[in-house]
This record gives sequence, C-alpha cells and structure tokens, in this order.
Amino acid sequence: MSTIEQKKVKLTSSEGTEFQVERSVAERSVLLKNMLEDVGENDMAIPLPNVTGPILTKVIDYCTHHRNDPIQNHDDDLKKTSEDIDDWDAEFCKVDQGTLFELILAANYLDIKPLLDLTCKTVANMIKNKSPEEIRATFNITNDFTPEEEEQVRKENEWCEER
Amino acid sequence: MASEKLLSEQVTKQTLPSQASQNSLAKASTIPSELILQIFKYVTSTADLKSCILVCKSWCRCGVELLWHKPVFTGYGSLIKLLVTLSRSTQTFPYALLIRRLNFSFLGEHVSDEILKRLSSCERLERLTLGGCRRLTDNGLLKLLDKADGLVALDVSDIENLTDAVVELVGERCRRLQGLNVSLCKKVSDKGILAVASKCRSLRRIKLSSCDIITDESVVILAKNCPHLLELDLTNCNQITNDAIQPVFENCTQLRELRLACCTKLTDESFTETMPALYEQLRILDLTSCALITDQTLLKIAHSAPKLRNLVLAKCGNITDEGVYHITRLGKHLHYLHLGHCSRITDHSITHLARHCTRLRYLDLACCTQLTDASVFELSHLPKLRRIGLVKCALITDQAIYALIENRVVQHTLERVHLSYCVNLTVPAVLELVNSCFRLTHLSLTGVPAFLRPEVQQFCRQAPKEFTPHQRQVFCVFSGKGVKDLKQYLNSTVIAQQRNNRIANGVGNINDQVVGPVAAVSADIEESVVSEAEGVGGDISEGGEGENENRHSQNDNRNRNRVSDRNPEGEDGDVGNALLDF
Amino acid sequence: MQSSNTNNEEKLAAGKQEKDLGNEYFKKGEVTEALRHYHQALLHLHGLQNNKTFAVFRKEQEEEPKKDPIQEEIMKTTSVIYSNIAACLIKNQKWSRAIDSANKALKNDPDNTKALFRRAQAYINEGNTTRAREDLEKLSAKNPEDAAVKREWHNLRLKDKEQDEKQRRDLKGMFERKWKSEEKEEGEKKSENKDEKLTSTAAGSSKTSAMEPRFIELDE
Repeated sequence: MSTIEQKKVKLTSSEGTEFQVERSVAERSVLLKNMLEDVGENDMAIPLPNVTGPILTKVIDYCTHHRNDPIQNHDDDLKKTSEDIDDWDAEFCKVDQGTLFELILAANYLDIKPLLDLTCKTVANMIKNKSPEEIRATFNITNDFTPEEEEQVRKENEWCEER
Repeated sequence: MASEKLLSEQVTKQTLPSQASQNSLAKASTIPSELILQIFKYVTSTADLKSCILVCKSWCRCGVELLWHKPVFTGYGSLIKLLVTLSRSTQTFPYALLIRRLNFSFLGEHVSDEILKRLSSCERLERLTLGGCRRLTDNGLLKLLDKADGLVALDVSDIENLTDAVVELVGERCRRLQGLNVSLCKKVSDKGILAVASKCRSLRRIKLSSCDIITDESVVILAKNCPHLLELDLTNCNQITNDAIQPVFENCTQLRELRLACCTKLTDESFTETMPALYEQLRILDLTSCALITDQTLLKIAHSAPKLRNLVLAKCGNITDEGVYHITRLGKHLHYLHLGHCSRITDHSITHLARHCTRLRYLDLACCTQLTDASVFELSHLPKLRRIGLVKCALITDQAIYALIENRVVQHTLERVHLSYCVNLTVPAVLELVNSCFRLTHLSLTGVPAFLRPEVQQFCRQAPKEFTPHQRQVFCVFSGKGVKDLKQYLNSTVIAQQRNNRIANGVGNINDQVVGPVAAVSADIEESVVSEAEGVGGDISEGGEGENENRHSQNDNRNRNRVSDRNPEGEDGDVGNALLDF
Repeated sequence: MQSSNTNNEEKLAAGKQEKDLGNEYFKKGEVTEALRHYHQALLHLHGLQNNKTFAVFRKEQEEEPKKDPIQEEIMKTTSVIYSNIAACLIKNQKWSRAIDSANKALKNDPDNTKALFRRAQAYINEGNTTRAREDLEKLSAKNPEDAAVKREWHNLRLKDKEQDEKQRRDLKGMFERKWKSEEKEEGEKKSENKDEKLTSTAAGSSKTSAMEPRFIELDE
C-alpha cells in the first residue's frame, strides 16, 4: 500500500474532462470507494455525469488535502458547532455562493461527508444573526408566504423563545 | 388541515427541478430540502432557526421539523405556549407528530397530569424524560404513554405516585424500549418489572435505584431476557441476594455499568468465576456497603472485568491488603477507586497500588486509619491524580504533605484534596500545598485543630443546614474562591510571623496590629476541641463536605438519577453514558 | 443549457440501462460485472433525489401522491439498484456492506420488501439476531406465507442455536478455568508472600502464557 505503487484512478466530469487522481484521494468519496472496492481498479475512466469540471477540480483539491484524515463513521462523532473550521477549510470555502451550493450538491452526490459538513457549516454561518428579510436578501429567496400564513407560522412557533 | 395541504402542494411545486432556474449554478432556492435540513443542523441558535422558518415555505418545513423534534423550553411559560399551539384547530403542520423527545425534568413540580394529557397526541415520541416531576400520577402517564409505541427511552425517576400500572403499560406498548429509569419509584414492584423484562427485549439500560420492594425475581428475569443490558442500577435494592446477581453475572456479558451499592445481602457467591475478560466491557462497578464481600470477590472481578475503570468499595469492611493486590491487576485501566472505610488495608497494598495503577485519577482512602505517610509518599508519583481523599487518616503528618508536592508530579494535577480529621497537620505544610498546587479548587480540613480558628474559618464554606452546632464548629471546607482567600491570608500571616520573629529576636518594639493573628497561629488549640472533633462520625464528616460521590442518601440519588450519572471524572466520555444516550 | 428536468430524464434513462445490464450479468452469475454496472447506474442517479419525506406530510402524501413522477422513478430505481448491490454483496459474503446497501435501498423506498429481506439475511449471517428478528417480523407481517421468509426464520433459529452452543462451550471453558485458576492462585499467593514486588509482574505474565493455549483448545 505504499504511495508510490498507488494506482491512479481516472474520473470524467459531466462535460467530458478527464482527471487523474490517486486512489486514496478518490476514496474520500464513499460512492467511489464502494465502487472501487466492489469491482476493483480499471483503466476505464469513471464517468461522473453529475459534477462539472470546475467543481470537480475543487472537490479533488479538498480530497487531496484531506486524503489522510481518519474516516469518521458515526454521525454522533461530528461536532455540531459551526465554529470549528480550520484555516485551510475556511480558505477553501471562500467562493461565490453559486459555487458553494454546487459544492454541497457535489459532496452529497459523491458522498463525501466531511466536505458536506464543511460546506453546510459555511452556509449556516451565513445565516447567523440575520432576520428573515436579511436571509432572503442574502440567498435571493422569494417570500412565498401570504401575510396570513406567515403570521400563523409565527404564532404557532412563539413558544420557542430566544435564549 | 386544509391550509396544510395547500402549503404542501405549493412547496412541492416550488422545489421541483423543472421550475429551477435556468442558471447553470445552484442556488439556495433549488437545493433539495434534504440538504437544507443538513444546513439547518448547524444553525444551532433557536433565534436563527426561528428566522429561517419565516424565510419561505420550503425552509419552513425543514425548520419546524428541527424546532419541534426536541422542543427546548425556556420555562413553564414556553411550555404553555406550545400546548396552545397544539390545541389550535387549524395548524400549518401537525406539530404533535413532529415531537420526538421531551424533557420536563427541569420543570419538576410544575408538570401536572393535565399537561401530559394535552400532549397525548404526540404519538411519535421516542424519548421522554420526566425525572423529578413529582406531582405526576398514573393518570397523566397512562394517557401519554398509551400511544407511545415508538418510545425508546423513559425516565420517570422520583415520581413517587407511579405504580406498576404504568410500568406494565410500558411493557405492553413500548416494545422497542431501550432505557428505563424508575429510580425512587418506590411503588414499583416485581409485577411491573416482569412486564418490561419479558416484553422489551432490546432493553439496554435500567435503573431501579431505591425500588426497594423489588426482589430477586425481577433481576433474574432481566438477566435472562435482556442479554444486551449495558447498565443495571440496583442501588439500595436491599432485598437482592446472590440468587439475583449470579444470573446477571452469567448472562449479561455486555454490561458497562453495574451498581449494587447497599445491596447488603450480597456475598462472594454473587460473583461466579468466569472466563478471563468475559466482562471486558464493564467499566463501572459500585459495591458500596456490600459489607459481606471479601477479597475473593475482588479476585474474581479483576479476572473477569480487566478493564474496569471505576470501582467503588466504600464500607466493604472485609477488604484487606490481599483484595487491593487483586485490584492492582487492573493496572492502567483503573481510574477511580474508592476504598473509604476499608480500615484493614495498610501501606503495603497502597504502595503496590500506586506502582501498578498509574493512571489513577481519583482515590478515596477515607477512614483507612492504618495508612501512614508512606502511602501518601507513593501516591505522590501518580501522574494523573486529581483528587485524593484522606479523611480521618489520622496517622498522616506534615511529612506526607511535603512528600506529595516534593515530587512535582501531582502539583500540576491535584484539584481536590480531602484532609479532614488528619489531626496532625499544621499550617505551614498545608500552606505549602496550597501554594504549589495551582489547580486546587477544593480543600477540606474539618476537624484539623490547627485550622479551627475564626480567622481561617471565615474563608470556609457554609456548613450544611442539618449540622449540629458542634459539627458547625469543626466544619472547615474551602472551595473555589475560598481556597484562594485562604492562601492569601495564610501567606500574609506567615510573612507577618517572620517579621514578628525578627522583632522577637531582639529588634525592639512590637507592633500590636501584627501580633494579633500571629499569636493565634502559634497558639495551640485546646485538647477538648480535638477530641470532640474526632468524636464526629466519619459519615457526617464526609457528608458535610458535600462532594463525596458515593453517598446513597435519597437526596443524592435523586440528583444522580436526574443528571443521569455525571461521571465523577467529568472527562471520560465513554463511561459517563447518560441513561438516555444510546 | 438544458432544463434540468430533461437532464434528469436522460440520466434516469442512462441509469436504468446500466441497471438492466447489471441484472443480466447477475442472472448469468457474474457478480463483479453486475456490480460494475450497478455502480455505473448509481453514478447517473445518485444525488438527483430530492427525497426528504417529511414526517409531517407522510400521511397526506399517501392520500394524494402529487409528486414529480420522474423524481418518484429516480428514487424507486435507485432503491432497486442498492437492493441488487446488496444481493451481490451477500453473494460475496460482505455482510456489513450488504446491510449498508440495503439501508440505502430502504431510505429511497421504505416499501422495498426485497431490500428488507436482504438486510435480514445479512443480519443473520453477521450474527446480529436481534436486528434480523425485527426485520423478519416485518416481512412475516407483510407476507405470512412466503417460503423464503420462512427459510430465513429457520436460518435465524440455527444461528441462535449456534450462538447458544458457543456460549455453552465458553461456559464449559469457564469451569475448566475455575479449576485452573484456583490452582494458580495458590501458587501465586505462595510466591507473593516471598517477595511481593518481584512476583506481581512476573506472575502476571506467566499467568497469561500458561492459560491461553488451554483456552484456545477448548474453544475449537
């Protein structure tokens, strides 16, 4: 299992761009890890029709940096605070909002839990201390409540007071 | 309900991919709800989550699910508001079905049967914590539990009115139950426990502390039917005999915590010989006041449960040095050991213990009256020692204290030191201890003559209310700020004393203001105080310190059960498993 | 840029095609090839699901299935693929992966009986008889007369018996051990009396080496 001998895995993005990565990098993705485990390595490129080239580049960056991290198995292990993002990860997430959401989708598609956690934490941090109006403005979301519906939801959830 | 359907339809349409933007990049509004929910899991403040639910309908659906999953109440008022929402005839969402976990223990007596009845529409409850809601009766509980088929954990500890009827209903309804705490429910009998034990096969944790009409019958059935038991608490179940514990020790090999404190009928025969390490999972064993057990039990336990971490043997008066030798086989696994009142043990076995169980963090040797400075000297090498209890180890002298800090090992770790009734200790030695152990937050010196003076006692904690005047007089326990104040005061008086000595050595006029405290330091305390102090029973002295983790009074149990066994060490995550965390 | 729905339709078609290929190989008994195509199918379909079934709406959805038909089909197909992967993994005796795949199948379609059945099989083989029993109970409730389910009940009982026997063997070992340990203890006590410090460590190590082989014999 030495790194020198490690075989490269070929990946193809949705528009057909080919990427070569080491197996340990590809295996950060549980989707790919299971596949490689079940059918073995192969010279054929693995098509990833649900990720574009630029996003796949970012994902590979992430997986390369974290290639040696211990695999987390349990949901319970994950720290539920959105504060503890290390410097490299924080820098990695400094992208435009569109890319950030694409990364969430890609992490979900490829089943890379730590990347999904990181990107979701980043979005959660953008929500902090904002009013509903400010959140809508930040994420460009249209309010589809009627005033009556909105009022009812507000009333129904009055019990959970701010601490 | 009509409004809800409307909302659901619109939301579905809105999130359909076909309606998604033509834009190539993803946007918040096109992200699948599953991932929105994922994001919301990191929105930890209730205020932020409340903002989220008002953003748009699809965010609303995700957000309310989280908000209602485990409602967090700020007080009684917010609970009432929640009940108001549940009673509305038109609700945007069927909120009751979203509630999975409820914890009312902090509301205590405010919780009434009426409240539970209003929550009976919560059919998907998984975890229900009602510990200490003492006003509740079977009426409310039967109503709430009647549809709780999916209940996984139930804590009804300290509800004194609760009877077997509730426990039997739980057995009938909640087949998936994994955790049950009926501690201090003194009306619960074998009838109830049999119902649960025979029907809830997945039971992992059960606490029956102080259910004192329980007999062997319950425990035997539990052991036979629930082989996956991780935790069994029989504290104060004093009818339990060897016949109950034997099957436990033979069947429940996955046990992590076994509490048998005050099961006074148990003897060595409870613990049968097993294969080596059959109880590799066992971490906590409490045998407080199982006074009939002898060294033989310890031999078998060290053999069967080699990874035992917390072992409580307080008031097991038959334990001798030989038993302690057996314990030392646990080696570095042992972190917590209580040998209080095991008065037969001597320096020999403690020396052996200190050399083998090098990861000990908590050691209580109260009333081990044969111990001398030699024991303390050995213990001073323990690199992780945080608490040491030497109450009534009256042979200990200042030399022990100096040894403790001389090795420069424990002075970095020691947090709590109990020296009550170590009557030989003097001010300079204790001051040295206080000065070098910078983490020290607790120091007890009750009944130590050198400290029984108003100038010193002014920094000590208030004596517990139930103490007699005499007990108050000798009470001397410092914690938190008190330790700092004591340190400051003693340092200043010692400096003053040195100056005084210079003056006394012939420099001239004595300043009256300096003499006051100094004279007191050197003054001997009358013999009578010493003897009276010794006359105070060990139990009281320990209880008065209020931090002995292994008392078994009702009050203490109540706290313990509610806090779900905080771990004495506070950091060993895998031991301090709360009842409700699986 | 295509609208994402046609895009999803294309991906669904591609995924189904791979799945069908996988099924053909599976029937021929070529498990690895089958797995390859199932995984290829997942590469098309995974991550397209918008499958958060809200607890709140579960009841209502049953009454009026107003969901996007393509979305429905994506989820059904994904469920079938995972369930078939589970079948392959059971053939390969990879129990925990099989359980994992069956779980994913059930997440995409909670009514996928085959996935439930396969999970039960994997649980039995893995020795988790408690979980296996839960699954089989659900299956029996749905199809009380199903022969395959009955067979797995039988297998479960066999497994139970096997575990009981193992325990009995262990208990037998225990008594042997008891006898042995008493003998040992006496020896230890004698030596400890001579020199407590020296023997404590020495006795510890000799004890394990003396006991271990005997125990292994018994276990076989």
